[in-house]
Amino acid sequence: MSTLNSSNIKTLEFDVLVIGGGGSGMRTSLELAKSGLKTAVVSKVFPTRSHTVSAQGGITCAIASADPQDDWRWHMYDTVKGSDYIGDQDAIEYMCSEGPKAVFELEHMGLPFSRTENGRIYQRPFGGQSKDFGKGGQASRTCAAADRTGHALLHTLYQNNVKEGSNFLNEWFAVDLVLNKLKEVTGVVAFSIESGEVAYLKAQATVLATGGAGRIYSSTTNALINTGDGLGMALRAGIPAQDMEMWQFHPTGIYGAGSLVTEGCRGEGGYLINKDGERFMERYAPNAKDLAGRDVVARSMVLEILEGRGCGENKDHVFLKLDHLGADVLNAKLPGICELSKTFAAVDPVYEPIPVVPTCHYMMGGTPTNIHGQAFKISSSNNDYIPGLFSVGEAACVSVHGANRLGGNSLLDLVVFGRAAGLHINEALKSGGGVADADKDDIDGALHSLNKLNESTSGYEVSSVKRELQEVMQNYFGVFRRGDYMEKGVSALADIREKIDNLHLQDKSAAFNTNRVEAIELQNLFEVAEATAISSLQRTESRGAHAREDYPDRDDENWLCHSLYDPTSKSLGKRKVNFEPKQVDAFPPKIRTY
Amino acid sequence: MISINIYRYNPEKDQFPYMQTYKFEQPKRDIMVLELLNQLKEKDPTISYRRSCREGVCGSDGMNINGKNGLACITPLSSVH
Ligand SMILES: Cc1cc2nc3c(=O)[nH]c(=O)nc-3n(C[C@H](O)[C@H](O)[C@H](O)COP(=O)(O)OP(=O)(O)OC[C@H]3O[C@@H](n4cnc5c(N)ncnc54)[C@H](O)[C@@H]3O)c2cc1C
Ligand code: FES
Repeated sequence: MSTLNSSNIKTLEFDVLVIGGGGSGMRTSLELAKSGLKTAVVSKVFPTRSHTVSAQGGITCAIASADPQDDWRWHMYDTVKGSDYIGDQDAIEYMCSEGPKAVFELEHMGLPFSRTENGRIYQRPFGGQSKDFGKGGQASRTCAAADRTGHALLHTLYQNNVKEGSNFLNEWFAVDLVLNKLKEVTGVVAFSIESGEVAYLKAQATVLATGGAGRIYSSTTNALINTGDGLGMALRAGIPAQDMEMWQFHPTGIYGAGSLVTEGCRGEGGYLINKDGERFMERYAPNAKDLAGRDVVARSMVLEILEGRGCGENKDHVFLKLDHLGADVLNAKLPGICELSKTFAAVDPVYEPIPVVPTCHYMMGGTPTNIHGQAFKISSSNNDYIPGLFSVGEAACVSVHGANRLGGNSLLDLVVFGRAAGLHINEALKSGGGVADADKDDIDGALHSLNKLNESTSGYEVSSVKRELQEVMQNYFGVFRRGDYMEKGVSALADIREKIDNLHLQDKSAAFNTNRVEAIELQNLFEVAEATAISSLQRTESRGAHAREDYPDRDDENWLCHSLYDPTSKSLGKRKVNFEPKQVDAFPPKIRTY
Repeated sequence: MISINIYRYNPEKDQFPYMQTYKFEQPKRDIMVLELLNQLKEKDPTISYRRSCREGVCGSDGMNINGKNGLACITPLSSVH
């Protein structure tokens, strides 16, 4: 294969490029296609195979179906508290107040929600939900389509995109961002997985909607394709990442397999037990019990295991008990969970408890953006944008989840901010906004790492370096963290960097070369892992999902802020958290108990 | 040892698709066909197939396994071997 450069690859031009065909990307593209802009959705898998398809439990939103008194302000309060007070309150307010509109839109597009007896959308209780600002007990606020909400949502969005005429570049893999001399983003270089053809995809606005990166850990609920490509591209281009130390470990990953069983199981009345059959969450969270924040439940489980009350031969997991709900409830409300447990744990929840263990699930951090999806750059004010670049969904950090996401809030984040970014880009482009062209050197620069990989004749093997990386992250940056361990992790990563820069691409063929895809994914995983490691080591406190044994307390004096990782200097700065919602008074930080 | 025949085709080189045989140590625990493919791919990176969710939800890895269509990620090796 000859060296790629701007003159031997073709250019495909669009008004807007959306990199990612998951829930966030397709909600963005839907808005843009409706407005008549020439929009392309680029997705490395067929869009309905994006990870959003796996979302189970539902989409949390105060639509006041289960409880006619429900109020978006209560949802906002829960989300702020859940975030351990580093979620931006302007963004959380926007999400919770605009949410009902976005959910009813989905309903009208045809999303087949489960229904109550009187025909309204079914809502189930989820963790961290309350009525009346924490004073009125457990709320039921998560709108569900059985336990296949993401599947229903993604297929609904795909159909509506087809209807509105979005262009799809299916099984195209985006490699790197193209930036011009003004440091504006002008598109990406990408290749068709099917044919191997490389192209410069040029646009006035580029939206990163590439999802999470759970595959930096060896045990994760995430799909194999969740490799943080958008974030990797951004970091390689010198664009910062925010709150990367904040990774959610979901309490109920199936032991051994990592597949998720939804929090909806506990919402429907299931609970966790230790080897003595004790419902241990009653000790750790007397009020919310099994429906406390995910970080709280995950830590309690690890403590039970560490104190010798784990289940099984190695006492290294606990059980999720569902059998008391009865076969009818389980088959009607949690059919997917029953199937998954039979397949991956060889247990039928109608009769036996499911073995579960906290498992890496969600990336709260990401490319920092405002509520319109505009990506921030590093500047003295921390509030300057990168022209041409947007990000939405799990890849972005708006930040509505802060240090800990509440269940069901991600799907809401996808559709609310996907829509918001679409609206903003439409207005901006129609009123003359846009970016200048990139020149030959800019495009050649973006092709550099692909060329290097294509021309490699020796070096390190992708699969073994990936395993090494995942083990470092699993061992040193898990549920509980410690400075001295994390230092070891950071130095192990520094050694792995050398291997990442010298991978050997063994397969050089053009058509459907997944060796090439996996090599680039590994490079992206590494960028995300390094950002995570350095941010984790430097945030010297415990907050939300970031729990340090050497700094067990929350430190509002020094750390009531976002961390902002600068990939160029590999150093950590800070960014202010927004405490200025527009329609309500800000919720001041309080001690977080459940 | 078990033998696995995989349908291969590289349009740049091959005039026709063909079956290639791989030998594989019988795994100690029952694994899914997808995991078997992943392990084979570590040895021969030119093997290609689609996969995403690895839990039977997305449909990427629909394939014909011993004459039956199925999703490799939820087909236990024991059920086909
Ligand atoms: C098992 C599971 C269950 C969950 N359940 C819930 C739930 O019940 N409720 C809830 O709110 N949240 C849930 N979540 C979280 C939520 O599903 C995800 O955060 C969300 O779906 C992410 O959507 P997204 O649009 O950001 O990205 P994704 O859906 O992951 O899509 C990413 C897209 O980017 C594309 N892409 C990535 N890299 C490239 C590249 N290099 N080139 C081209 N395309 C690329 C992919 O092809 C894909 O189309 C769950 C998560 C998991 C793991
Ligand atoms: S990989 Fe998704 S169905 Fe098998």
